[in-house]
Amino acid sequence: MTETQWAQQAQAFIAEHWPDPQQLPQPSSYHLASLRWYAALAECGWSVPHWPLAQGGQHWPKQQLYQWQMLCQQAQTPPLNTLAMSVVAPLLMSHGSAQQQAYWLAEIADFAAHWALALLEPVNAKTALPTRLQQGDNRLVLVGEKRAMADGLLASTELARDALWPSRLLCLALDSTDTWTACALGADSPGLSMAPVANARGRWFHVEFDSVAVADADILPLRGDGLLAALADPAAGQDTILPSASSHGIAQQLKLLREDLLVVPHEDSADLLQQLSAAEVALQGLQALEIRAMAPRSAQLPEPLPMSVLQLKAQALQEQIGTLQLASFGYYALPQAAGLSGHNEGPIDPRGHAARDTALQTSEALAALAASGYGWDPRDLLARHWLGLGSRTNRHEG
Amino acid sequence: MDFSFTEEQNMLHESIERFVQTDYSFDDRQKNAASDLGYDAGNWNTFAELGWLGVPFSEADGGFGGGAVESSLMMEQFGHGLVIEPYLATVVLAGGAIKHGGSDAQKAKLLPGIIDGSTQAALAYAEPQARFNLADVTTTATADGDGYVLNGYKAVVLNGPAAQMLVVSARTSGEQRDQDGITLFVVDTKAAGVSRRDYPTVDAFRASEVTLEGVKVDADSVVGEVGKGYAALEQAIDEGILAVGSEAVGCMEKLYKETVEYCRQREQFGQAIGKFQVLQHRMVDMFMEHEQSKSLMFMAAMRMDEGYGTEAQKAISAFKVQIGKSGKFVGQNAVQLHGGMGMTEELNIGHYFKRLTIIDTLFGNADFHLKRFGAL
Repeated sequence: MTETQWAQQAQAFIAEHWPDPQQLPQPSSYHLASLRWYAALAECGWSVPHWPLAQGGQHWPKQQLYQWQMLCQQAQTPPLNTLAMSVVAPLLMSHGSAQQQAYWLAEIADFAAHWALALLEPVNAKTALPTRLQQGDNRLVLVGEKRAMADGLLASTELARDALWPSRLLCLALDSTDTWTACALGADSPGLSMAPVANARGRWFHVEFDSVAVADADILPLRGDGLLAALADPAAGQDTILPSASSHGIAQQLKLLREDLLVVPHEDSADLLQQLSAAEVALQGLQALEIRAMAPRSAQLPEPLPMSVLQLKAQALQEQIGTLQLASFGYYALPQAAGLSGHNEGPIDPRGHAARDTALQTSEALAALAASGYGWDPRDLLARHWLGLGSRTNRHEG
Repeated sequence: MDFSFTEEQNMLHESIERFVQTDYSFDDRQKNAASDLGYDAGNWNTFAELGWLGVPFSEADGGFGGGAVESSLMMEQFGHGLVIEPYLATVVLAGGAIKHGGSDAQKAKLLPGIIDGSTQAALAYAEPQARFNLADVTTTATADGDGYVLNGYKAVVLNGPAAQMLVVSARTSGEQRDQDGITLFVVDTKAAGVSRRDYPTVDAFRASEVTLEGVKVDADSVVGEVGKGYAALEQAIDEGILAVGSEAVGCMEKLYKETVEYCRQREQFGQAIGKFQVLQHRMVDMFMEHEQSKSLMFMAAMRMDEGYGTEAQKAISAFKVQIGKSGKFVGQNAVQLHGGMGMTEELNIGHYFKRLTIIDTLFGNADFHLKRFGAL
């Protein structure tokens, strides 16, 4: 199959399985459409195309993955890289037992479970102590509290508890020897309670563990500092993370923003257009980085560009665009996109359509970023692995 | 767009890299910069012997047949070594103006001297009132018999002190800022009426203020068509931007790597300062700025090789914006992370920073190119 034929096939797939998001009136419709999209991906075997064949992937080359991401971004599909794929799966591939790999990887590839990462302790924990994996009555039990992060578009807190909530958690705890340990739990485990924590996108949950039983088979073999290092960089040395191709989605945002700024010129238009040019320059930079990440090795490019570079650049650009969007919307930055679509038909901004659309897009773009950034700064990874500066010194260690 | 390189490009890159690493020490560079000539004539001859002075010229003109990518690879390596020899002024700018604007006869006459290293040249285009506008030209060229008479003043002519040949932009018609009506002339620096005031620049290069008073040139000195010199001038300057931008990429790589190495060695509070997270993040940001600039360098070079037009100009301006921003960030942080040593003359860090600062200004700074990018 030629590259063009493959692209046509991919476009046809997207057209068949993903509606225009602007046509979806309610947030719930978006989430349900997302679930149908993920199911379609799993059914045709495209859910984890970057994984090895032996683990249910397609082992697509980077260029093909990049093109696939580009097409999906143009169609504004839900993120292809979920937390389960970018964190849990690489961890399992490197450090999981054969049994864990066989069960959980297949589950992740099928989108059969929605994972949340229960790694962080809440600031206001009742116990003010780390979550513990301790010996109970003839079994190991988990005790404590966590703030769990779930995939933004898979887990909805805007709806009543149903299939859209996380169904499985990866939990970090200290065992009886004060060694860090990770285990997987079903969200419906007895003694486990979960409640959404309000934030911009509704992806966080407060989790309480009241002597939740944990089977030995559900504990990762890797423990201690090795576990923390693997969690900080789950895909180190692996090819199991999709190469980032954020530029196409961002280009769409900038195009809409330029249209919006030109609809009704005002006294700040010239300044905003100048800032927009700066963002467009930064976009060219991101595109150039993405092309470099795909390039074969040479004397000039002896090393593959780390994906963290693309992630950092995309984050910086999203921040730049977010600031510019807020500035350009003026007072129309205030309405909440979800609330608008829930109570009104069509745009409320009399200047035209773009403002509401770009607000929604910004929100989605941030969700995608949050799904890939789960608490560690990519700069830590670059400092350690790329610049060879070693692990950082934390304040409490000094 | 494909960022992979041919075997010839890799070989060129490796040969220059080897020269800079083994034969171009910082101490020698400083000594040469302080000499009367301002650079090393022996190095210049080596460049010629190795064919580097002919890299951007076609094989028909006696060159290597390289394009923007090859020039960019060379200049990046020159940036690593902070090379002081006037490659930019002679080959890229003056040679570039002749390459793009000159007739076949002019190229046959003028380019061999540049390629074999016997001719030093300079492009005299800037004027005090013009800031970065290439079309703002008050120097006049008045028809006089079969030739022209040039009168005017050219500012900050790079390599002016060593140049035997100037390529001068002068107005033969139109208003002060019209793009039409600008003509390029080849002028012998020893011609009657040409006078110079020479000086070193902040980054240890040399430049001149050139006064033209009743300088007579013949009709053969017109580069290309009368009144149509702006296009060749703009293209030569855009190639100059790619060249200095690539040099800046080399400078930034050197700065961030030396800074990382320094922070791995330097101890404070009982451990290497490179262990502190706030400094690690700053070094990662330096690394990011370099990688970003390098990626845009590839993109700009490849757009130029695809054909000179709006897309190439946009890529060049985007690159220049990035270079201005990144060069400042990397230079400032390299100096700061080196502490007091970063400010000293004997350490190379401050010299790289000075070069980066000047590169931001050359051919239009980041603000200028952001406006150009938006307008294209």
